[in-house]
Amino acid sequence: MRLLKKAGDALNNVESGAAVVSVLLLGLLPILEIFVRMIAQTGIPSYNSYLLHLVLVAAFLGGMVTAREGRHLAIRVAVEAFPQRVREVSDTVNAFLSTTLGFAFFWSSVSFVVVGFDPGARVGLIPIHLFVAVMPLGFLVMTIRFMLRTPKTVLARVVGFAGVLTGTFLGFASIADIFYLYAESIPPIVDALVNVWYLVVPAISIPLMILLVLSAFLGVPLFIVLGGAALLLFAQYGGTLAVVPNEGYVMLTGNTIPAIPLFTLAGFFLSESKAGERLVRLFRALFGWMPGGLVIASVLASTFFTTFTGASGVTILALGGLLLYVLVGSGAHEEDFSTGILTASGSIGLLFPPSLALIVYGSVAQVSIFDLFLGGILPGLLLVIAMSAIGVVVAIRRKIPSVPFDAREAYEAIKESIWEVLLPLIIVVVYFSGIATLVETAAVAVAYTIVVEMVIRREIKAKQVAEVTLKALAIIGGVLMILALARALSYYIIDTQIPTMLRDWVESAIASRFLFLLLVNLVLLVAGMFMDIFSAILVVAPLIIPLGGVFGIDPVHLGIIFVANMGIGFITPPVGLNLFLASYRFNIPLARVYRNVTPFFLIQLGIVLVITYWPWLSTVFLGG
Amino acid sequence: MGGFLRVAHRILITLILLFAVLGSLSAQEIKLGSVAPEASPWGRALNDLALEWRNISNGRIRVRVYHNAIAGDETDILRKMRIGQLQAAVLTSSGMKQVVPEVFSVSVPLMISSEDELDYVMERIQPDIEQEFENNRLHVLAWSRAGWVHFFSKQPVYYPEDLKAQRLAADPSDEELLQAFRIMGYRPIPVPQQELLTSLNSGLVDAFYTSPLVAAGFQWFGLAPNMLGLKVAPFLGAIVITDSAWRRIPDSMKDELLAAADAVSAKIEDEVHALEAEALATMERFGLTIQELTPEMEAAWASDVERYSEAMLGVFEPEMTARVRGLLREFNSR
Repeated sequence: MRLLKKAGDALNNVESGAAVVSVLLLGLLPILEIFVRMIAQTGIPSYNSYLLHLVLVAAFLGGMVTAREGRHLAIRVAVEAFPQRVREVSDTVNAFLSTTLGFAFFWSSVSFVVVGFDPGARVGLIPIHLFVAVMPLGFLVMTIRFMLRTPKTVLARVVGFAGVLTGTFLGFASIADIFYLYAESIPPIVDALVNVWYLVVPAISIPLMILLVLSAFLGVPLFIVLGGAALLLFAQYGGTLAVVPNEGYVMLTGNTIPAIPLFTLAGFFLSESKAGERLVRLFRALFGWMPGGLVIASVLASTFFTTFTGASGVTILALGGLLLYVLVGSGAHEEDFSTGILTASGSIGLLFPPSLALIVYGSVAQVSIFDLFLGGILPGLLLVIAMSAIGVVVAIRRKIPSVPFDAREAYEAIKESIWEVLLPLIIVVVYFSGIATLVETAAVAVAYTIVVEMVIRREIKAKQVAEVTLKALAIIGGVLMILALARALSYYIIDTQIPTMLRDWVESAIASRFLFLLLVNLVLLVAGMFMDIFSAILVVAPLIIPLGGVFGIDPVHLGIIFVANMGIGFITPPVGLNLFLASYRFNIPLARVYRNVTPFFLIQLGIVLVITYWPWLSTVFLGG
Repeated sequence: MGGFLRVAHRILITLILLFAVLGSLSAQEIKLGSVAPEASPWGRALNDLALEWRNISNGRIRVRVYHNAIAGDETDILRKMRIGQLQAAVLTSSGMKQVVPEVFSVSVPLMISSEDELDYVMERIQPDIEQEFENNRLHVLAWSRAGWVHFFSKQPVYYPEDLKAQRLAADPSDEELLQAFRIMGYRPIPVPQQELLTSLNSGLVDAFYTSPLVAAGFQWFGLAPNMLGLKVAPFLGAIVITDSAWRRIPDSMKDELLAAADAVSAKIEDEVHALEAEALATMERFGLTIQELTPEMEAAWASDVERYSEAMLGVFEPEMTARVRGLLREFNSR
């Protein structure tokens, strides 16, 4: 028994080590690329492929660590208050579903790895299978961990094992794909099972999905719910299950995704050092004289960061910890208010240049990107002002004392935190001067923070680097798993061509411009909840744009409506992505995030309606 | 209990039979992925094709088209065909070369430089390339040209040295082109499409290569308003279908279906030419300068290419590249 435990510990260490190394490599590679490019005028061969596949590895190793720490995001509403017996039942159901779908993910990703890639495919010099094998491995380890977390009764164990069998059966169609592709002759048992599969699975998948969605409130991890719903929906019409891991792979190997783990890591190194205390002093000295000054500064910092990193919610992960410390640590604001406003400010920078969301929209919609930048200024400002104004109102109402501005204290505070103050400047210079791409800039930020906090400040010791990285990994893994499997659900929406059907219906049924705009708001809000912003632009925008023409809506205005709507989609309960990120970063239950963000969400919703029905805001700066 | 089992057994058999009958009656759905927008010659043509195939097959074959790369980029579309999520696709050169590397021998930078040359070469290598696709479980339904790739740059480019002084953005997935440009002494920087605009703005890159339609569509030319008339490489397109989906289609229909696909491709080619001219005119109105080639310039580019022609064999599929080169010599000596 003791030997077993020792072996287990050793394995855990190997796992942690591999995960930490993969993330640190992810930070190192882009920096190497920058240097090679400076010296050799051109970069490392196959650099991009290596980088993207390293993210995949880091994501799944991170996901395993997240499962080990029991930190996969889940909604547990009132489960703790249930009587003992009821709680045992609900935990057993939870374990059964997690195991079933986890195994289905495992088998479908085995099939994806074997069938989806050419046997000779490579990432640079390394066979691609070595990288993608981390997907089935990760799903398997995570699922076993979910299984072991069940109540330690005989019944629960039996049910857990039943989950393994059901999951294997559920994934059987994709196991069979391997036989059909590679086996010389198909064993009769495979054929028979496939027939049973087609008979049974499409019939039970919808009831199972409903059970799954309900059990989301009993603590089934969210990524299992999202991916599981997708898998069951694809299974329901006999579709290809391997598309679920495929979409996860596509998401995680996206070109801008490496910025998420990197900026998160940089944020952790800052918040684990004493940088927070220095920044509190700095913010107080610079903005403390203004009522609500700290809130305004936080809102502006978030806005700027979102504008420049794109849209993926990195802001909350990277800055959330620090800004919360600034707001709460200064004794000025309550935690609920602070987490609420920080969550709500995580997506309002999308309307300012050079927002990637506007660029992508412009190229899809064939609208001048420059005009979109102009159009976004006033609506964007309106959102920023609204969030800041709340800070001022709250500060005045709660009589939060302001400190008079003191030039000497400001100077001292800047001097003390000069290395941290330099970080945003370095980011801006490195990115906008053309030294580096966005992802490379993120890597520079990581390297800079580590050097500052470890070498210059000496607040983080060399051996703590692994510790802090591991801490960040538990979040990175959880976030990336959600992103990966949510993408599978978006692909189901694409596959069924629901948006096209909706367009055809609108074309025939709606005549009023007012009604059309309201519908656009509604559809985009829902799309913003379920789809990542770039998929939504690619899928939904081409359908809405011709309709906008029919109703005589200015194309720039429509673009601003689109992006503003997607922005609040991020914070729309219950599944807006930034809500999940906030729950992680601020370490508070989702239910509380919902409650805290709701007032801010309603205000932003109001502003989006104003943006929608007052075209002047988006078109005033457009010439002609 | 025995009675119950018997009933259950009967129900099961009935269901299996029903399932089998429904299966044979039901239409064959073909999901086709394309990276072209719906409002482009490709998009419109694919919708036409879907309609025609449905008519030809009396509704038995239903083609669902996923435009605008919503089913993924070409790498992803190909993978979705492998796992069975998609059955057909429109591929450009950069997608095709992932299945049949020989295709890219036609796209060696600055090797083939006119429509006539391209016609001559394609006519001769097409059957072999199609055979290679068959070996990879794909069937080519129709080919079509999608215009030519050109250089766009911030500073005007007349001679190779002018371009070599600028940083050239290259799509990260085009490993061969990156390497080819590197060998030829250019300074290629991998930049994803989404980031090209900001990268041009920040000065990370100064130039890029693409077809005029794409440059206009993404508005990249605004930041690099010089286009060189030199044709860098042809942009090919093909409609392909998986072997298994093609085999499920009754042979009696196939000739008609193929003819429809051919007609559609021909239409695309015509429209692309017209639209390309239109895109060029529009871009010129918005400040694009097109630098036409003088004979001296042409000679300079040709000799620069000649210098590296051996090295290209190490980057592109060597046998086919040598063959294409031979065909070009044959064509030019006629």
